[in-house]
Amino acid sequence: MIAVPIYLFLFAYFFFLFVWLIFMLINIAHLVNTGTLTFGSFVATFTVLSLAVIILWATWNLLLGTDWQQTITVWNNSWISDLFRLQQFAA
Amino acid sequence: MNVSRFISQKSYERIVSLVRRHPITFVPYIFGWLVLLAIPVILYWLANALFPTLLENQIVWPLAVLFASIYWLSVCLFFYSYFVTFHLDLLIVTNDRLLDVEQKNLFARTIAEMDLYQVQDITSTVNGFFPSIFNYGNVLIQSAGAIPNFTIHDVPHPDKLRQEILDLSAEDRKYHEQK
Repeated sequence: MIAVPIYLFLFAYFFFLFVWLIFMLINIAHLVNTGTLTFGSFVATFTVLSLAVIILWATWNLLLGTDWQQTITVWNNSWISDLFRLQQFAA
Repeated sequence: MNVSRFISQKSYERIVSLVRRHPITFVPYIFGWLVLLAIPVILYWLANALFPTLLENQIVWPLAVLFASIYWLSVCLFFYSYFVTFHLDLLIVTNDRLLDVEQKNLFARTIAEMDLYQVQDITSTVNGFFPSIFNYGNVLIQSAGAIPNFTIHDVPHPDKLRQEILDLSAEDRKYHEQK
């Protein structure tokens, strides 16, 4: 049986946030470097960043109180052995 | 940095206009974005209706929240990247040349240039229901230069742009004939 603590998923989430932030910065750098900052680009940037802040805030609030030491079973040999047992039963 | 440095503006050159695609052509993407944003809410409602105890599980809930958060942030990032691509796709009209900046994706951009005095023919087309209502369409510019054709898609007031480029081209041709 292989069981992993769920904080591993949290670390994966932080890694995703890091990659996400890099891509957002590349997008903003494109707008700044080409000198094409307009009201439209400001509205789009403001909307997306505001939404991202709300998503992060909601994620933080919904995950408060979570026990990250809990484990989740990602593999169990019995899943396969039970399968054969079920087939024998069916036969 | 501004557009002048971005296009290496010449000393005698003056930027006449920056032309982007009509904003109305971006509206379908906003609707698509809103639909994608709504999907986790629909799934949450479905999960609650079909498996009422599933999301009460101490392991399923945090994983579902993390997954939803990743999904929403990704949708926001894709939308913003598409907006930047849309926004940076532009035609720069100066008194000397036309520059077609085409942002293909976040890491690919092409800039094509055409001298105004080489412009031979310009055709503007408004084709379709929405283009007719909101007055946007394509402008096809033909030249005698290295780049024979230049098509600018979905620009607002294509007839006006055609006339503007024709006037500038005539002025530039006069200047080159005097030299």
